[in-house]
Amino acid sequence: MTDPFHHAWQASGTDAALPPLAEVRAGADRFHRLIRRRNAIEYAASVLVIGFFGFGALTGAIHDPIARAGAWLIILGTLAVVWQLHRRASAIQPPAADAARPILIHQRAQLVRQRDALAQVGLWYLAPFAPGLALMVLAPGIRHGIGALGASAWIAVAINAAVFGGIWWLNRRAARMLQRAIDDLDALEG
Amino acid sequence: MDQDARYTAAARTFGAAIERLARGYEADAELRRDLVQEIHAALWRSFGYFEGQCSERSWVYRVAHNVAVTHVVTRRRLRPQALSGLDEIEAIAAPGDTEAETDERRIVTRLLATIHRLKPADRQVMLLYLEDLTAAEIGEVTGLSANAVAVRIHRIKALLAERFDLRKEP
Repeated sequence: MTDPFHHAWQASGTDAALPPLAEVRAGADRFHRLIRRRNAIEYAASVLVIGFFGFGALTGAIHDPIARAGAWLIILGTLAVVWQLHRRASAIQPPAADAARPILIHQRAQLVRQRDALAQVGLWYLAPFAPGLALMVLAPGIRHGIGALGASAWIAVAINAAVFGGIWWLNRRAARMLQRAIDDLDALEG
Repeated sequence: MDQDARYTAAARTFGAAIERLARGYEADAELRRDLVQEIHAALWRSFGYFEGQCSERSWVYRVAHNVAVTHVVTRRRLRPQALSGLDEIEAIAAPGDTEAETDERRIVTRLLATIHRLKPADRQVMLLYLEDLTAAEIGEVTGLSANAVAVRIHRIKALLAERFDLRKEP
Protein backbone atom coordinates (compact mmCIF):
# COMPACT_ATOMS: atom_id res chain seq x y z
CA MET A 1 0.00 0.00 0.00
CA THR A 2 1.45 3.36 -0.93
CA ASP A 3 -1.41 5.79 -0.35
CA PRO A 4 -0.70 8.65 2.09
CA PHE A 5 -3.02 7.27 4.80
CA HIS A 6 -1.32 3.90 5.17
CA HIS A 7 2.09 5.50 4.98
CA ALA A 8 1.33 8.21 7.53
CA TRP A 9 -0.45 5.78 9.85
CA GLN A 10 2.30 3.17 9.84
CA ALA A 11 5.05 5.77 10.19
CA SER A 12 3.48 6.90 13.47
CA GLY A 13 3.98 5.12 16.78
CA THR A 14 7.14 3.30 15.77
CA ASP A 15 9.25 4.55 18.69
CA ALA A 16 7.30 2.67 21.36
CA ALA A 17 9.44 1.13 24.10
CA LEU A 18 8.39 -2.37 25.10
CA PRO A 19 7.40 -2.82 28.77
CA PRO A 20 9.77 -4.96 30.89
CA LEU A 21 8.79 -8.64 31.03
CA ALA A 22 8.39 -8.61 34.83
CA GLU A 23 5.90 -5.74 34.52
CA VAL A 24 3.95 -7.62 31.85
CA ARG A 25 3.74 -10.73 34.03
CA ALA A 26 2.56 -8.68 37.04
CA GLY A 27 -0.10 -6.99 34.91
CA ALA A 28 -1.45 -10.37 33.82
CA ASP A 29 -2.61 -11.01 37.40
CA ARG A 30 -4.13 -7.56 37.97
CA PHE A 31 -7.66 -8.53 36.90
CA HIS A 32 -7.83 -11.37 39.41
CA ARG A 33 -6.51 -9.13 42.18
CA LEU A 34 -9.29 -6.58 41.49
CA ILE A 35 -12.00 -9.27 41.57
CA ARG A 36 -10.58 -10.75 44.76
CA ARG A 37 -10.58 -7.31 46.43
CA ARG A 38 -14.15 -6.54 45.35
CA ASN A 39 -15.36 -9.91 46.63
CA ALA A 40 -13.51 -9.43 49.91
CA ILE A 41 -15.46 -6.19 50.47
CA GLU A 42 -18.76 -7.95 49.65
CA TYR A 43 -17.92 -10.82 52.02
CA ALA A 44 -16.97 -8.41 54.82
CA ALA A 45 -20.30 -6.57 54.38
CA SER A 46 -22.11 -9.92 54.54
CA VAL A 47 -20.36 -10.82 57.80
CA LEU A 48 -21.51 -7.49 59.28
CA VAL A 49 -25.13 -8.08 58.18
CA ILE A 50 -25.14 -11.65 59.51
CA GLY A 51 -23.51 -10.52 62.77
CA PHE A 52 -26.01 -7.68 63.25
CA PHE A 53 -29.17 -9.72 62.64
CA GLY A 54 -27.75 -12.85 64.28
CA PHE A 55 -27.04 -10.86 67.45
CA GLY A 56 -30.60 -9.51 67.44
CA ALA A 57 -32.17 -12.91 66.86
CA LEU A 58 -30.04 -14.87 69.34
CA THR A 59 -29.90 -12.44 72.25
CA GLY A 60 -33.55 -11.47 72.28
CA ALA A 61 -32.77 -7.89 71.26
CA ILE A 62 -35.52 -8.44 68.68
CA HIS A 63 -38.50 -9.26 70.93
CA ASP A 64 -41.20 -10.04 68.38
CA PRO A 65 -40.97 -13.70 67.24
CA ILE A 66 -42.23 -12.78 63.77
CA ALA A 67 -39.56 -10.08 63.44
CA ARG A 68 -37.02 -12.60 64.77
CA ALA A 69 -38.06 -15.03 62.04
CA GLY A 70 -37.53 -12.14 59.63
CA ALA A 71 -34.00 -11.66 60.96
CA TRP A 72 -33.21 -15.34 60.35
CA LEU A 73 -34.60 -15.05 56.83
CA ILE A 74 -32.36 -12.03 56.18
CA ILE A 75 -29.38 -14.11 57.34
CA LEU A 76 -30.41 -16.92 54.99
CA GLY A 77 -30.89 -14.38 52.18
CA THR A 78 -27.41 -12.96 52.82
CA LEU A 79 -25.90 -16.45 52.65
CA ALA A 80 -27.75 -17.02 49.34
CA VAL A 81 -26.34 -13.77 47.90
CA VAL A 82 -22.81 -14.67 49.11
CA TRP A 83 -23.14 -18.05 47.39
CA GLN A 84 -24.30 -16.34 44.18
CA LEU A 85 -21.36 -13.89 44.33
CA HIS A 86 -18.94 -16.77 44.80
CA ARG A 87 -20.49 -18.71 41.90
CA ARG A 88 -20.61 -15.70 39.56
CA ALA A 89 -17.07 -14.55 40.46
CA SER A 90 -15.66 -17.93 39.50
CA ALA A 91 -17.38 -17.59 36.10
CA ILE A 92 -16.48 -13.93 35.59
CA GLN A 93 -13.21 -14.67 33.77
CA PRO A 94 -13.93 -16.56 30.58
CA PRO A 95 -11.65 -19.47 29.67
CA ALA A 96 -8.19 -18.18 28.76
CA ALA A 97 -8.44 -19.35 25.15
CA ASP A 98 -11.51 -17.10 24.63
CA ALA A 99 -9.17 -14.08 24.61
CA ALA A 100 -8.16 -14.97 21.06
CA ARG A 101 -11.65 -15.51 19.64
CA PRO A 102 -12.66 -13.37 16.66
CA ILE A 103 -13.37 -9.88 18.00
CA LEU A 104 -17.11 -9.75 17.28
CA ILE A 105 -17.76 -13.10 18.95
CA HIS A 106 -15.74 -12.00 21.99
CA GLN A 107 -17.52 -8.64 22.15
CA ARG A 108 -21.00 -10.17 21.82
CA ALA A 109 -20.27 -12.77 24.49
CA GLN A 110 -19.12 -10.03 26.86
CA LEU A 111 -22.23 -7.92 26.25
CA VAL A 112 -24.53 -10.95 26.72
CA ARG A 113 -22.79 -11.85 30.00
CA GLN A 114 -23.13 -8.29 31.33
CA ARG A 115 -26.77 -8.02 30.15
CA ASP A 116 -27.76 -11.29 31.83
CA ALA A 117 -26.06 -10.34 35.10
CA LEU A 118 -27.88 -6.98 35.16
CA ALA A 119 -31.24 -8.39 34.06
CA GLN A 120 -31.14 -10.99 36.84
CA VAL A 121 -30.16 -8.63 39.67
CA GLY A 122 -33.74 -8.66 41.01
CA LEU A 123 -33.65 -12.44 41.23
CA TRP A 124 -30.29 -13.10 42.87
CA TYR A 125 -29.42 -9.85 44.68
CA LEU A 126 -32.78 -8.35 45.79
CA ALA A 127 -35.29 -11.21 46.10
CA PRO A 128 -33.33 -13.15 48.80
CA PHE A 129 -33.65 -10.15 51.18
CA ALA A 130 -37.34 -9.40 50.48
CA PRO A 131 -39.09 -12.03 52.70
CA GLY A 132 -36.95 -11.28 55.76
CA LEU A 133 -37.26 -7.51 55.41
CA ALA A 134 -41.04 -7.80 54.86
CA LEU A 135 -41.46 -9.91 58.01
CA MET A 136 -39.38 -7.54 60.12
CA VAL A 137 -41.12 -4.38 58.97
CA LEU A 138 -44.66 -5.80 58.90
CA ALA A 139 -44.45 -7.93 62.08
CA PRO A 140 -46.89 -5.75 64.13
CA GLY A 141 -49.37 -5.77 61.23
CA ILE A 142 -49.19 -9.56 60.90
CA ARG A 143 -49.79 -10.03 64.65
CA HIS A 144 -52.43 -7.36 65.29
CA GLY A 145 -53.85 -6.46 61.88
CA ILE A 146 -52.86 -3.92 59.29
CA GLY A 147 -54.20 -1.05 61.40
CA ALA A 148 -51.53 -1.75 64.01
CA LEU A 149 -48.81 -0.53 61.66
CA GLY A 150 -47.62 2.90 62.69
CA ALA A 151 -46.40 5.71 60.47
CA SER A 152 -42.76 4.66 60.98
CA ALA A 153 -43.55 1.16 59.63
CA TRP A 154 -45.18 2.60 56.52
CA ILE A 155 -42.22 4.93 56.00
CA ALA A 156 -39.88 1.92 56.29
CA VAL A 157 -42.01 0.03 53.73
CA ALA A 158 -41.90 3.01 51.36
CA ILE A 159 -38.10 3.43 51.72
CA ASN A 160 -37.45 -0.28 51.17
CA ALA A 161 -39.78 -0.40 48.17
CA ALA A 162 -38.13 2.71 46.67
CA VAL A 163 -34.58 1.36 47.16
CA PHE A 164 -35.41 -2.10 45.80
CA GLY A 165 -37.50 -0.71 42.95
CA GLY A 166 -34.81 1.85 42.08
CA ILE A 167 -32.01 -0.73 41.96
CA TRP A 168 -34.17 -3.09 39.88
CA TRP A 169 -35.23 -0.33 37.43
CA LEU A 170 -31.69 1.01 36.93
CA ASN A 171 -30.33 -2.46 36.24
CA ARG A 172 -33.15 -3.30 33.82
CA ARG A 173 -32.51 -0.04 31.98
CA ALA A 174 -28.79 -0.83 31.71
CA ALA A 175 -29.65 -4.33 30.46
CA ARG A 176 -31.89 -2.84 27.74
CA MET A 177 -29.03 -0.56 26.62
CA LEU A 178 -26.72 -3.57 26.36
CA GLN A 179 -29.39 -5.44 24.38
CA ARG A 180 -29.44 -2.57 21.88
CA ALA A 181 -25.65 -2.88 21.53
CA ILE A 182 -26.06 -6.64 20.94
CA ASP A 183 -28.71 -5.94 18.30
CA ASP A 184 -26.29 -3.52 16.61
CA LEU A 185 -23.64 -6.25 16.46
CA ASP A 186 -26.13 -8.78 15.10
CA ALA A 187 -27.09 -6.33 12.37
CA LEU A 188 -23.47 -5.99 11.18
CA GLU A 189 -23.74 -8.95 8.84
CA GLY A 190 -26.81 -7.43 7.20
CA MET B 1 10.19 -21.66 22.33
CA ASP B 2 8.79 -20.88 25.78
CA GLN B 3 6.02 -18.40 26.61
CA ASP B 4 8.40 -15.54 27.50
CA ALA B 5 10.42 -15.91 24.31
CA ARG B 6 7.32 -16.15 22.08
CA TYR B 7 5.77 -13.11 23.72
CA THR B 8 8.99 -11.08 23.47
CA ALA B 9 9.40 -11.90 19.78
CA ALA B 10 5.77 -10.96 19.04
CA ALA B 11 5.98 -7.79 21.12
CA ARG B 12 9.08 -6.69 19.16
CA THR B 13 7.33 -7.35 15.85
CA PHE B 14 3.95 -5.86 16.73
CA GLY B 15 4.85 -3.35 19.49
CA ALA B 16 4.38 -0.31 17.26
CA ALA B 17 1.12 -1.69 15.81
CA ILE B 18 -0.18 -2.22 19.35
CA GLU B 19 0.65 1.41 20.18
CA ARG B 20 -1.24 2.59 17.09
CA LEU B 21 -4.17 0.30 17.87
CA ALA B 22 -4.35 1.71 21.42
CA ARG B 23 -4.41 5.25 20.01
CA GLY B 24 -7.35 4.22 17.85
CA TYR B 25 -9.31 3.11 20.91
CA GLU B 26 -8.28 5.57 23.63
CA ALA B 27 -7.64 9.29 23.17
CA ASP B 28 -6.60 9.94 26.78
CA ALA B 29 -2.81 9.47 27.11
CA GLU B 30 -2.90 8.21 30.70
CA LEU B 31 -5.63 5.64 29.99
CA ARG B 32 -3.87 4.67 26.77
CA ARG B 33 -0.74 3.70 28.70
CA ASP B 34 -2.90 1.44 30.90
CA LEU B 35 -4.54 -0.05 27.82
CA VAL B 36 -1.16 -0.83 26.20
CA GLN B 37 -0.01 -2.53 29.41
CA GLU B 38 -3.23 -4.56 29.54
CA ILE B 39 -2.74 -5.64 25.94
CA HIS B 40 0.84 -6.74 26.61
CA ALA B 41 -0.27 -8.65 29.71
CA ALA B 42 -3.03 -10.41 27.74
CA LEU B 43 -0.59 -11.15 24.93
CA TRP B 44 1.94 -12.71 27.32
CA ARG B 45 -0.86 -14.82 28.87
CA SER B 46 -2.12 -15.87 25.43
CA PHE B 47 1.25 -17.29 24.39
CA GLY B 48 0.81 -19.85 27.15
CA TYR B 49 -1.75 -21.59 24.94
CA PHE B 50 -0.93 -20.49 21.37
CA GLU B 51 -0.50 -23.60 19.27
CA GLY B 52 -0.86 -22.21 15.77
CA GLN B 53 -4.69 -21.99 15.87
CA CYS B 54 -4.33 -19.18 13.30
CA SER B 55 -1.43 -17.11 12.00
CA GLU B 56 0.60 -15.37 14.70
CA ARG B 57 -0.32 -12.02 13.17
CA SER B 58 -4.07 -12.75 13.40
CA TRP B 59 -3.60 -14.07 16.94
CA VAL B 60 -1.85 -10.92 18.13
CA TYR B 61 -4.45 -8.62 16.55
CA ARG B 62 -7.34 -10.68 17.97
CA VAL B 63 -5.95 -10.57 21.50
CA ALA B 64 -5.08 -6.88 21.27
CA HIS B 65 -8.44 -5.82 19.82
CA ASN B 66 -10.36 -7.96 22.33
CA VAL B 67 -8.61 -6.22 25.22
CA ALA B 68 -9.28 -2.84 23.60
CA VAL B 69 -12.96 -3.67 22.99
CA THR B 70 -13.38 -4.62 26.65
CA HIS B 71 -11.72 -1.30 27.54
CA VAL B 72 -14.14 0.63 25.31
CA VAL B 73 -17.25 -1.23 26.55
CA THR B 74 -16.28 -0.51 30.15
CA ARG B 75 -15.46 3.14 29.43
CA ARG B 76 -18.72 3.68 27.53
CA ARG B 77 -20.71 2.43 30.52
CA LEU B 78 -18.94 5.06 32.63
CA ARG B 79 -19.03 7.85 30.02
CA PRO B 80 -21.53 7.25 27.21
CA GLN B 81 -20.84 9.03 23.92
CA ALA B 82 -22.44 8.84 20.53
CA LEU B 83 -20.61 6.74 17.95
CA SER B 84 -21.30 6.48 14.23
CA GLY B 85 -21.12 3.85 11.54
CA LEU B 86 -19.01 4.25 8.41
CA ASP B 87 -22.18 5.05 6.46
CA GLU B 88 -23.10 7.85 8.89
CA ILE B 89 -19.78 9.53 9.57
CA GLU B 90 -19.77 11.65 6.42
CA ALA B 91 -22.48 13.74 8.05
CA ILE B 92 -20.16 14.47 10.98
CA ALA B 93 -17.26 15.73 8.92
CA ALA B 94 -18.58 18.13 6.36
CA PRO B 95 -16.50 18.05 3.16
CA GLY B 96 -16.17 21.81 3.39
CA ASP B 97 -13.88 21.65 6.42
CA THR B 98 -11.26 19.47 4.72
CA GLU B 99 -8.06 20.80 3.24
CA ALA B 100 -5.37 19.09 1.23
CA GLU B 101 -3.07 17.53 3.84
CA THR B 102 0.52 16.71 3.11
CA ASP B 103 1.96 16.65 6.61
CA GLU B 104 1.89 13.06 7.93
CA ARG B 105 1.33 14.08 11.51
CA ARG B 106 -1.74 16.05 10.58
CA ILE B 107 -3.06 13.19 8.48
CA VAL B 108 -2.71 10.86 11.46
CA THR B 109 -4.45 13.39 13.74
CA ARG B 110 -7.37 13.58 11.34
CA LEU B 111 -7.46 9.80 10.91
CA LEU B 112 -7.64 9.40 14.68
CA ALA B 113 -10.41 11.98 14.97
CA THR B 114 -12.42 9.92 12.48
CA ILE B 115 -11.56 6.54 14.06
CA HIS B 116 -12.58 7.70 17.55
CA ARG B 117 -16.08 8.47 16.26
CA LEU B 118 -16.62 5.05 14.71
CA LYS B 119 -18.62 2.20 16.21
CA PRO B 120 -16.37 -0.64 17.45
CA ALA B 121 -16.79 -3.01 14.49
CA ASP B 122 -16.15 -0.28 11.91
CA ARG B 123 -13.24 0.99 14.01
CA GLN B 124 -11.68 -2.48 14.05
CA VAL B 125 -11.92 -2.86 10.27
CA MET B 126 -10.44 0.60 9.70
CA LEU B 127 -7.54 0.02 12.10
CA LEU B 128 -6.75 -3.36 10.56
CA TYR B 129 -7.08 -1.91 7.05
CA LEU B 130 -4.58 0.82 7.94
CA GLU B 131 -2.19 -1.90 9.22
CA ASP B 132 -2.27 -3.46 5.73
CA LEU B 133 -4.17 -6.61 6.63
CA THR B 134 -5.92 -8.20 3.67
CA ALA B 135 -9.72 -8.53 3.58
CA ALA B 136 -9.38 -12.26 4.36
CA GLU B 137 -7.13 -11.51 7.36
CA ILE B 138 -9.54 -8.84 8.61
CA GLY B 139 -12.33 -11.42 8.39
CA GLU B 140 -10.21 -13.93 10.32
CA VAL B 141 -9.44 -11.42 13.06
CA THR B 142 -12.89 -9.85 13.43
CA GLY B 143 -15.22 -12.73 12.61
CA LEU B 144 -17.00 -10.64 9.97
CA SER B 145 -17.95 -12.37 6.71
CA ALA B 146 -15.91 -11.64 3.58
CA ASN B 147 -18.86 -9.69 2.19
CA ALA B 148 -19.25 -7.56 5.33
CA VAL B 149 -15.49 -6.79 5.30
CA ALA B 150 -15.58 -5.89 1.60
CA VAL B 151 -18.51 -3.49 2.14
CA ARG B 152 -16.66 -1.77 4.98
CA ILE B 153 -13.39 -1.46 3.11
CA HIS B 154 -15.27 0.07 0.19
CA ARG B 155 -16.85 2.60 2.57
CA ILE B 156 -13.49 3.34 4.21
CA LYS B 157 -11.88 4.07 0.85
CA ALA B 158 -14.77 6.33 -0.12
CA LEU B 159 -14.69 8.07 3.26
CA LEU B 160 -10.93 8.69 3.09
CA ALA B 161 -11.13 9.93 -0.48
CA GLU B 162 -13.97 12.31 0.33
CA ARG B 163 -12.94 13.45 3.79
CA PHE B 164 -9.36 14.16 2.80
CA ASP B 165 -10.44 15.39 -0.58
CA LEU B 166 -7.96 13.28 -2.54
CA ARG B 167 -9.48 14.39 -5.80
CA LYS B 168 -7.78 17.76 -5.40
CA GLU B 169 -4.37 16.19 -4.86
CA PRO B 170 -2.14 15.66 -7.90
